[in-house]
This record gives sequence, structure tokens and C-alpha cells, in this order.
Amino acid sequence: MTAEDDLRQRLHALGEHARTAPHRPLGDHPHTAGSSSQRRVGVAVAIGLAAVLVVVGATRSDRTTEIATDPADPGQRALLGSTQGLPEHDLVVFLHGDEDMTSITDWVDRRPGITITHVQTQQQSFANFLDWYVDDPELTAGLTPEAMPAVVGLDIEGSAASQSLLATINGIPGVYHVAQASGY
Amino acid sequence: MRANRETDVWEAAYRQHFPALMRVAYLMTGSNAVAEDVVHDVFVACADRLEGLDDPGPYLRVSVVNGCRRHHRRRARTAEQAQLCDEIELPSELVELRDGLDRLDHRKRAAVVFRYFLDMPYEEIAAALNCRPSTARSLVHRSLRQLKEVLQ
Repeated sequence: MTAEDDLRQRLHALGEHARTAPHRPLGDHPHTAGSSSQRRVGVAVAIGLAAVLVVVGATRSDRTTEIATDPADPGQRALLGSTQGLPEHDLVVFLHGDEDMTSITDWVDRRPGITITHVQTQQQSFANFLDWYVDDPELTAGLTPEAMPAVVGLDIEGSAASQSLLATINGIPGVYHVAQASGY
Repeated sequence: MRANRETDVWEAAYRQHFPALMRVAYLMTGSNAVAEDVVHDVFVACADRLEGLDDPGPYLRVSVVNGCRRHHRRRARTAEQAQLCDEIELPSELVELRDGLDRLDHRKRAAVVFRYFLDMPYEEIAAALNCRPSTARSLVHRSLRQLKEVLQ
């Protein structure tokens, strides 16, 4: 067997160890699905089955974050990569803008057991996004800090956030989306 | 809301190409987790570009390889040099290969994967790596020579 044939054979054998199905099963909702594992916090990756994609990020400690986003929408696309470097948190709350911070901080102040672990301005989100996609000018072209979300990380005492809590936070004025971290 | 046709094209491309793209990304990064990140990133970034392509496969493959390059750059920039390879029990000959691939720079690694995993002709490898076919051929041969030093 030639060295080339040997390499070809080994490459195919190694390639068979790739995980060829998404790490998490596609969700019931046709617009949701996905998984990934990446950096310390992250919101990044996406899969989806229909018009809206689901972006999934995770910590290396097996925590995932789901963020519904539509890459065709520059505003939603801006969610991608905007949270790099966040500390660990249970929830990531995306806000339309810095001016909406008060609504979520006021709400948290009234909620024992929920603490704010991170606050990130639109400018910081923008900087993270540019860093994340430094090699993809097509993705970053035309983006401005104003197109980026402000981000708040929340720590929920006890077990994972319930659906009702997520719905409540989603209903707070200025909240664009809530991403939940959960083990998988 | 995206047009149904565009969605259908995207969904079909995802279903058809995800496994193969995962294999390529895995060979390029040595990690299933990173590979999945890269592949998903590509599908997000390419979501609105697939409809006009007769065969999105080559475009997606090159995008994935470029995504792997970005991953390596980020990893280097953030000094995350820790071994990211999956803790998968691999036969020794595959461990050798994986480690050998890790020692190649991005272009050489991509050249090897393109040539010996995807069986791409040098002209296509050159297009993907933005170089001349002769350069692609040279890259492949130098990579093979380098790999032979570590493969038993």
C-alpha cells in the first residue's frame, strides 16, 4: 500500500469518529433545533429547520444556550458572537438597547434568588462581535453598535429557570430574547 | 419570515451535507464539539446564500474549512492552547494521524483533507485555498512528507 493510500484510508477511518448527527435532537418546533459546544460562554452556533434558526452556544462545562435568531435579520444576526467572554450564567437576557437595562435590573431587584452576573453594553457586544467574526467582513459589514443587543447575564438560585420564568422575563419591556443555559 | 423556498433549500442542504461537513470539520479540528460549532456557524452564515447554488456542497465545504481556520486563529489569539481533542478512544494509528494533523498548519491540513479525504483535484484544492494548482500540489506533497514522519 502506498503512503497516499494509507493516509487516505486512515483519514476515512478517523473521519468516521466524527459525530454526524447534531448533538441534541432537533426540537419539536420546526423553527427550533440545535446544539453545540464551544467557548466559556458563548452564543454562537445555529441550526434550525425553518425560517427562524436557533443559535446555540455552550460552555465547555456542558452548558448550552439557546437563542432564536434569524440570520437574514441583521439585528438578530447581531446576537451571534455578541456574548463572547461572558462569565458563566444561567440565563442571558438580550435587550434592544442600553436604555432597556433599567427595566431588567429593576425587575431583578424585586426578585430574591436572581442575581445579575454580567452587564454588557451594545458597544461591548459590538466589540465582541467584531472580534468573533474578524475574518468574515461580509458578516460584519454595515453593522454598528446600535444594531447590537445589550446583554445581561442572570444567575438563578436553585434549579434551572422554569418556562414561566422565561416567559415572564421575555415579557419585560425592552427584552429582545432570553437564552437559557442548561446541561446536556 | 424567510421565504418557504429558501427555507426548504436551507433545510435540505443541512440534512444532506451536515454529516459530511462534520467529518471534514472533525478532521480539521480534532474535536467533535468544535466541529459542530464550526458547521453550525457556517449554516447560519450561509443561510441566505444557498438558494442560488446548484450544488451547495463545495461552497459549504470551503466555508467549513475557512471556519476551522478562524477557530484556530481564535484559539491562538486567546492562548487557548489546551488540547481540545475529544476524549474518544482511538486506535493508536488514528491517534498518530490526529496528532500529525495537529502539527500541520491550516493550509497543509486543509490540503490533506481536500486531497485525501474529499478526493478533490488539485485545481479545486487550489481554488479553495486561493492559490495556484502547482502550489496546491506542492502543499499536498509537503504535507504528506511531514505526516509520513509521524505515521508508523
